[in-house]
This record gives sequence, structure tokens and C-alpha cells, in this order.
Amino acid sequence: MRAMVRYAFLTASFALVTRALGWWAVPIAGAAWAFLADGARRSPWDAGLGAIFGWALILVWADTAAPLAELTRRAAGVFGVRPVVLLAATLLYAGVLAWSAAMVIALSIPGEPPSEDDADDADDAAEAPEVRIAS
Amino acid sequence: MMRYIIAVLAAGVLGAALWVGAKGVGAVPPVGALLDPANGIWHVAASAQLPREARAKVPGLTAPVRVIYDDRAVPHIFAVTEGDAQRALGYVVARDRLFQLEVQSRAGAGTLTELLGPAALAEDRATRAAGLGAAAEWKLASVQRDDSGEMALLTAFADGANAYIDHLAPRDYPFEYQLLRRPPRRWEPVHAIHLFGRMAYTLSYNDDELRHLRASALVGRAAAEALFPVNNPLQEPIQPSRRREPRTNFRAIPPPGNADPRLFLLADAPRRRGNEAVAIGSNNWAVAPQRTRAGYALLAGDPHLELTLPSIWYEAHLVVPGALDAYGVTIPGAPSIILGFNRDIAWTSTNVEGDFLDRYVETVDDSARPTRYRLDGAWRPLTLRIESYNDASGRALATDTIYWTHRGPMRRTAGRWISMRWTALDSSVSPLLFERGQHARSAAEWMEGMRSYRSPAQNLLVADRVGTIAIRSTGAFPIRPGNGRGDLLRDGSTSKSDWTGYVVPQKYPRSANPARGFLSSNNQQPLDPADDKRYLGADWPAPWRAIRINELMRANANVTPDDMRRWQTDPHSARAEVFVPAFLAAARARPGDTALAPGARYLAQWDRTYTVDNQRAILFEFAMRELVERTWDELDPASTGLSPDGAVLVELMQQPRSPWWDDRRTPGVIETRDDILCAALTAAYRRAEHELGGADDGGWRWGRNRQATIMHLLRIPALSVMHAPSQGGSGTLNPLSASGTEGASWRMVVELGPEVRAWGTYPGGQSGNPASARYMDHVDTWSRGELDTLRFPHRASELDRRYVTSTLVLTPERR
Repeated sequence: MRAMVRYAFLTASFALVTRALGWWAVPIAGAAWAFLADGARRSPWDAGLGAIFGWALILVWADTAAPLAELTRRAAGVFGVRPVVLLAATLLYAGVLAWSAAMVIALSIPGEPPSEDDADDADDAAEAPEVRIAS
Repeated sequence: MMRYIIAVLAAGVLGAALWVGAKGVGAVPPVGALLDPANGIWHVAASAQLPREARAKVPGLTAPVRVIYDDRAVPHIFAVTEGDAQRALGYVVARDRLFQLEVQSRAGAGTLTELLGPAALAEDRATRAAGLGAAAEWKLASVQRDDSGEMALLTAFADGANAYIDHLAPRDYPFEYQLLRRPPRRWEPVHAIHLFGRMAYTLSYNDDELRHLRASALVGRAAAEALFPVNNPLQEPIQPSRRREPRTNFRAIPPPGNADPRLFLLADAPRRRGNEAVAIGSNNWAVAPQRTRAGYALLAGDPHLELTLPSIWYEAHLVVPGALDAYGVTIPGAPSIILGFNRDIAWTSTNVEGDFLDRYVETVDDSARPTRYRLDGAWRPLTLRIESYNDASGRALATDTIYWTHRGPMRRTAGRWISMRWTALDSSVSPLLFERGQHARSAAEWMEGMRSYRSPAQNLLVADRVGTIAIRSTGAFPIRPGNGRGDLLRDGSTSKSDWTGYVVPQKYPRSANPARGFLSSNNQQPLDPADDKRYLGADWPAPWRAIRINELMRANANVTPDDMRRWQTDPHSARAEVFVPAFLAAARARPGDTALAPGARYLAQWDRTYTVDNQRAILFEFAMRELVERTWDELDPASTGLSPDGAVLVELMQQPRSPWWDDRRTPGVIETRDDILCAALTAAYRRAEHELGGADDGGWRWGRNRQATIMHLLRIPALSVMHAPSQGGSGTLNPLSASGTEGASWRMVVELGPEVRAWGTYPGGQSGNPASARYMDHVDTWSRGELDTLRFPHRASELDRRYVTSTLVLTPERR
């Protein structure tokens, strides 16, 4: 559950910072997330996925204004690539920016990066038995 | 250690991603800003659809303006004053066509490199060498000095356009600006002048003298005179003649003479597409009430131009209660309707393919760096103008010195200096005339208002509700000394070579309410030389389209608007009616020729139409190409671009044993006309079978072999329509150039009854945004030859709510 909330938060955050500041805010947000997560081993991956979801959210929103498929087809044609490649490249680019920035920060925080034993994971682990009992 | 390596790798990936995002690498553009879904190319989707309701402020407005977009995305502008309507037009045009506004005016100024970079340098150099940049500056100065109201008109449009541009966030820049990473330029009144200069360049710049010189160099002067004659051998003039039409005026074509390579060098100046442009062409026609089913005058117009996305035209409806109520198409940047109708009249035009540009061989003091030129025995100073070309960052790409005589700009060719005089440099389009024309209440009033129209010369056609139909070839027709011809190089060392004036409007070719009950123009020679020998141009295109439309109108005394619509894409070819019998007659004389037989059999099956599904038209086109190349082999049409008009070929057919029929590739054999006709047909069949397969296997389908290509302004195929089927072919009323890139750019039919009704379409859409559903939504309608009903409400409330897609309210903004 907390993982879902975390990804929802990251998705919204990356969408908002991109919308407000532009693409270059994505690595900053990724780095900030790693810093806030105290360099948790998973934080770069969370940041990368969050950025991908965030940009995907913006594209889905854009699709409500005009059919994105047509724009994707035309824009991909301009660059001489297949539409799916352009779409994938867009999302992947956000992921790479956020992941790499978060990774640099996570690895620059002194000490062993907490992983399974980090706070979030501990929280998730603590939640799990309750879910099993409830079911 | 591993942690350190991973950190370094991650930093490297981050650095690379940031670098590629900000700077790009090689052919990869800076992808950060481009792929940014909130601000880059993806964001254009957000502005693809007009909001249901919107408001904006425009400086200079005296009162709010209401703009209602109908279901075809056409803005109906309801304003209190005409100045407000022009401001609103500027706003909506910028909103829909911002990139096009800039590109087209830059094309007219020769500053495309500042937007597109070095790739546009050759185009810019040609534009400025033609003198358009300088002429626009003079025109602007003249407009600023006079009090005609033209400056106010241009300024009002600019106010509206800039109100849109100034409030545009970078993320809302049109798609093309995002690709080019450039901000839009503000619109200034001079940009409209550049736009009109570009129009003149497209429609009236020619190289008649150089073509004539090239032909003389190859086959001698006498032959060149006959192959590129002043008067077309086939006459179906715009001003109806008292003679039976079409009239032929065939003369004997002299045999090829001796070549003179020195002349060829002199003529080898940069060439424009002269003949290809002529080979397409525009149509307009009007039918008087006595020949229409409803008893109302009908008018049709379809200007043929380069097909682009977005289209050169933008539809709009301007309403100022009690003053103005006009609907039609404008060119983005023009502050009024150019072709259209109001509550009383409808008007349209075709281009006069006349001669408005002459060239002179000048004598200069220094062949490398001249400072003076000789005139009437004295040296006169040349005016030097430095033309600099910069790229988008302001970096200098090139500099040219353009030398001007009193006639115009001068260019060096093969060691000689050749100057030119061109009407477009003396006087460009006056937007004020079109603006005033929108108000006319009768055909006569409109024609009177357009008397002072100068350049590019147009065959203006108008009809009104009273039932008047009228046509006039209008523009600045130069009067030349001596034999009056402008298609030959003149001696620049004497002022006796100079133009002595212009034809007065009372002498323009014209007709109003002719007894036959219809009028038409199709770029052909306006006057039958048997009636009037004045020189207005040379090497006129054969009047195939005029012959066909006049034939259709003569045969129908109950014309309906739908007839007018169908005729705009009529697939029948008057040209084929002349040439096919000649091919078949030649083939019949050789019954034993087995190589010829299948081609002749298939050609005989052809109904002489160019429908999309026709499977024989392509054979005829192949045969005509072979015929032209074999007949005019002395001119080498493929490399020199010299190919006499089709009517001259018909003229030559009257001389079956002319030396022109001899194929130089077969030494020892002297071919006749029928030999060449048979050889051309045989070769055409072989080619068709080889390239396209069996005659009935589908490969010969006309629509498979000839399609319209509607290119984006940046020539990006992904933003273009590459293969739109289009009915029509060479010489038909809906001609399609071989490349498919030119064709009917706007089709309109207007019925002038008690309530004016109109139909129209164009190959494109109102929006210039490639993500918009309105980017190319008219293409299918256009391709099928259909027209949309044009909504023409008297007032905003009259437009049915079902058809209202968006509303924009523009309110005054204090400066």
C-alpha cells in the first residue's frame, strides 16, 4: 500500500515539476528523492519509474486535448523513427535522467546504503503481516 | 570500489543525458526541450483543439469583437469597426497559422536563412537578386508617406497578430518552432509587403528572354521564333472573339538552324520553373442568369498553386454591421479577403501568364566590379546594394553585392551584365484594393475599384446578384518601344529600349455580359491576335482547359451549382482529343507492325478521361512524353528545359515531313511524323508494360501513377500528404503537375440569388498545427472533387449552435 502511495507521490511530483520548470527539473527531483530517502538502494529505481510514470501522466493528459496517436505518428516521422520508438524514447529519457541523478546522490551518501532494512522497506514489511491476517 | 565505479558510471550517464538534452549530439537535436511532454513537441497537442470558449485582449480595439468558429473551423468575425475586424483577423490567423505567416513573408524578403539556416541560402539569394528585398523597403516608405489608409490597414492586422504572439508562452509555440528551437517573430506591416512580393515572384517572374535565347542558340533564331511564338497557334481567348472558337492559326515551322553555343552561355542564367508553372494553371468562369437553371448568375474559381500544408489560403468571414459582410479566403498576412463573395457579388481571379519582366544587355565600366553603366553615350553610376545573409544566431553566411541600373537589378552571366525591369518592383499588390473590393455592391463597382490593381496581373472575374458577369485582365502591362516585344533581350545602352508607359485600364482585355452568356479564363492568351495584335506576353500556354470549359458551358443552358462543381474536376482532356486520333491514324497505316499493335489497341480503348480508376490515360501520357522527346530532340528538353507548347506540336503535325520529325539518334534514317508517332506509342507501351505490368492488372490505374503531393512548408514528409488521389491530368480542368505538387489550391462556387449561397474547399485545413484534427481535414473532400457548404450567417446568433465549435471574445487592451 505504501509503495502505491510512494509511486503516486513520485508520479505526481515528476509531472508537476516538469510542467512547472521543464525537463531539466527531472534530474533535480530524482536527486532530491534519493536524498530524502537517505540514499536507499531502491531510491534511484523509484525515481526512474516515478519520472516515467510522471511523463506518461502528462502525455495521457495531453491525449485528452488531441489524439496523441496522430501527433506521435507525425512527430516520429519527422525524426525518422517508428512512433513507438519516439514514445518509448520520451519516457525512457525521463527515467534515465531521474535514475542517474538519484543514483549519484544515493551513492554519495556515506555509509552502506540501506536496502531491505531501510525505513520504507521496514514499514512495508510491517504492513504485510497485517494484510495476511486481514485476508 | 564497486560503489565508486557505479557512482562514476551513473554520473557519466547523467552527464550524457543532460548534454544530449541541452545540446544534442550530431544529428540528434537537443532532446530535453523537444521531448519534454509539458513544454516540448508533445505539448502542441494541448493547443490542437480550439477551446469551447476563450477570451483575449488586443490593443487598439474600439469594442469587443466576437469570433465564432463553425464546424469547418472557419472564424466568423463580428466587429463594430473595420479596423477591429482587421485586428481580429490578424489574431485568428496568427492563432492558426503562425509559422506559415513567418515563413511566407521571409520567403518574400529573402531572409529564410534567419529561420531555417544555410539550407535556404540559395532561395534567399535568388529572391534578393530579383530585387524584392529592396522593393519592399521602397514600398513601405511610400505607404508610410501616403494617406491612403494602407498603413493603417497593415498596422491593424499586425496589432492583432502581435496580440497573439506577445502572449504566447514558449511551451505554446507551434510545432515547427519547437523543432527549429526558435521563437516566433513579431509581425510588422512590412512583412505583408514581403508576402505580396512573394506572390508576384511566384506569379509573374519569368525568363522568356533567356528561354528564347537558349532556343536560338540551339536551333537558330527563325526556328526559335516559331517554336516559342508570341501568339499561340490555338486560340480560345479570354475576351470572346467574334470568330469561331477554338481558332487555329497554324504556320510552317522552319527547319532547325545552326547552333551558337556562345548564345547558350549567355542564356544560361539561373532558371525558374517557367514552363512547369504554366503547365498547371488556374480556372475561373461565370454563367449569366439566362443560362442557369435557377436564373441566378453563377461563378466558379479555382486558383492553382503549389499545394502546401498548411494551405496557402485561410478561410474567414468578416462582418461589420452596415459596412462589411465578406466571406472567402485570405492569404495569411493579408488583411482582407482576397477571393470570395459578399451579399451582392462574388469575385475570383486567375493569373495572366503575360510578360511583365524584360532583360537588357548592359555595358559597364569594369566587367568584374562595375561602378557605372553606359546609357545614351554617357556613363551613369550604378547603385550598389549589399545584401547580407545571416543564420538564426546572427552569424553571417554570405554577402552579395547587387548592382542596380535605373531599370532594376543587374546580374552577370557568361561575362555579360544583364539588368531587368519588372513590374513587381515598381508596384506590388495593394491590399487596400482588396479591402475596398470587399464592400462593392455590384460587379461594375468592384471592377472600377480594381482598376488600379497592378501586379501580379490577374484575370479578374466578378458576378453580381443583378446578373452581371464581367472579366478583365488587369495589371501593369508595359508598353515597349519598337516591335513592342518583351521576350527578346534588349540593348541596355540606350534609353530607347526602355518601357514607354503602361497600357491604360480602358484598353485591358475585357468582357461583360457577352451574348453567349458565359465567361472564362484559364491563363490563356487574353486576346485573339486576329482581333488585337498588341503584345501582352509570349509563349502562352495552349488553351486546352478553356476549350473544354467553354465546350461544357456552350452545351448546357441550365447550369446548376453542382454542374459548376463537377466541372472543376472534369476529367476530360481536350488535348487528348487532338493527339489520340493522330496516334491512332498513324498506327492504322501500319497494320502489320506487331510491336505497335497492342499500344494502339489499348489507346483506342481510352475514353480520353483522367479518372482515378482509368487504366489507359497513363499510356497516353507515356506516349506524349516519348513524342515530345523524340520530336524536340534538337532542343534536348530533358536537360535544357526547353519544350515548345503542346499547341506548337499540333502545329508541327500539319507538316508530316518536316525535318523536325527526324530522330537524330538514327543516322541514315529520315523519320516522318507518322514514324515518330508510331515509335512513341510503341515505346510507351513497352515502358508501361515493363514498369507497370499488364494493361488490366491494376498497375496502369491513373490514380496509382499520379497523385497530389501536399508538402509541409518545411518539406517534411511526415507532416505532408504524400499520395492524395486526384482526378485530372495534363490539359484537363483539374490539371496535376507531374510532381503532383501543384493543383487547385481553393475551389469555390457561388450562386448569386436573393440569398447568396456558396460552396468551397481547399486541400488542407484551417489549423497549421499538425496535431490538430483541422490540420488536413479538407483534403479528402478536395480529393473527391466535392465542396462543403460555406456558412454565411448575417449575424452571430444566426449560426446554428450545432455548427458552433468555439467562441473567442477579443476585448480592447490599453497600450
